[in-house]
Amino acid sequence: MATTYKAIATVTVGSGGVTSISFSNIPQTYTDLVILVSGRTDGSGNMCMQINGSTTSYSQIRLGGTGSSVYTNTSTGQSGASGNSFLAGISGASSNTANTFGNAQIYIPNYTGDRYKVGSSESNQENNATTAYMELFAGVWSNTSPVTSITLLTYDTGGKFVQYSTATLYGIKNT
Amino acid sequence: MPTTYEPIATTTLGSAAASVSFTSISGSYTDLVVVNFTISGNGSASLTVNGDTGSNYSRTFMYGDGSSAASGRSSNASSFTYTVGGTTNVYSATILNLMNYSNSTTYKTFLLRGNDPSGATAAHIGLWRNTAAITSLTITCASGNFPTGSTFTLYGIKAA
Repeated sequence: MATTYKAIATVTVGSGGVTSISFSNIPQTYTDLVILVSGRTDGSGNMCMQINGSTTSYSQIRLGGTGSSVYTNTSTGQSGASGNSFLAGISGASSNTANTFGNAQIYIPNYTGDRYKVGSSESNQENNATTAYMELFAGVWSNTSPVTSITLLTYDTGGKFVQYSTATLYGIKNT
Repeated sequence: MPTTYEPIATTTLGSAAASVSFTSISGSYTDLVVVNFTISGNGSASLTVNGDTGSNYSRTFMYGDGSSAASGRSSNASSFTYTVGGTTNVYSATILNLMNYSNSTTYKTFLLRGNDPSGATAAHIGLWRNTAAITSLTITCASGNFPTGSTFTLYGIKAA
């Protein structure tokens, strides 16, 4: 039987950092996509996602915990560093313990289908301090186009993913 | 490399349906995953195992809808209820994990990430108080029918 959970591409950030991590020309031969991120930014750590370069029609719901409290909020489009997008998770922040990277898993079902494109993510921003964060997201891009490219951005204007951040795109087939 | 993550069955609805079932599930995997891409009229679906509708299910969840965050629990329920899409055109990205499903010694537990991307995001844990191996799963729409184009995929994961 063919492999059904397959790595499509991996990005490892080099010296100097990058403002975005992109996966383009995504094969249309899978059913679902998964992105696993080990990341840290030079700002707040909030991470946004754009699909097919679009800067419209995003919204998301967030549920988070700090170790002492919980919170939830929603937004119809997040004005991140590169325009409208949806928050897709958190990675390490510049204020976090040195060398500590956050983790995120983003699941995008039925990415080639003719329905709106949705995503589910779990992420954390661990920190050797009183407060650290874990967050769950549900996001939607209200567009029926197939997903052919995905760009991860930092929320902060001019922000960067720092060196050694990694993101891997996987494809899952249901046959 | 041995294949450890395999599709077992997929249902894509060609017409609206009240429920979807996976039957005769092989016991040859270690864990199961069910991906739900669908909508329910109230943003909820329910799972029953091996046709059991007795009061043998419990769950704990945490939930956020953008304005309030909460945790809740139900026990002695007749199914395991969880979050799916609840808004027209906005289907769910809901992933259910069932661990060690084929043993005949322990009660069966579930982990679930439930999303109604226009309504709520949630995480659930569930318990089915039965030691039987899981051989079938039925997912029922809690309000109305699952719409055309809904997909439900069952994957099996092998530990080795």
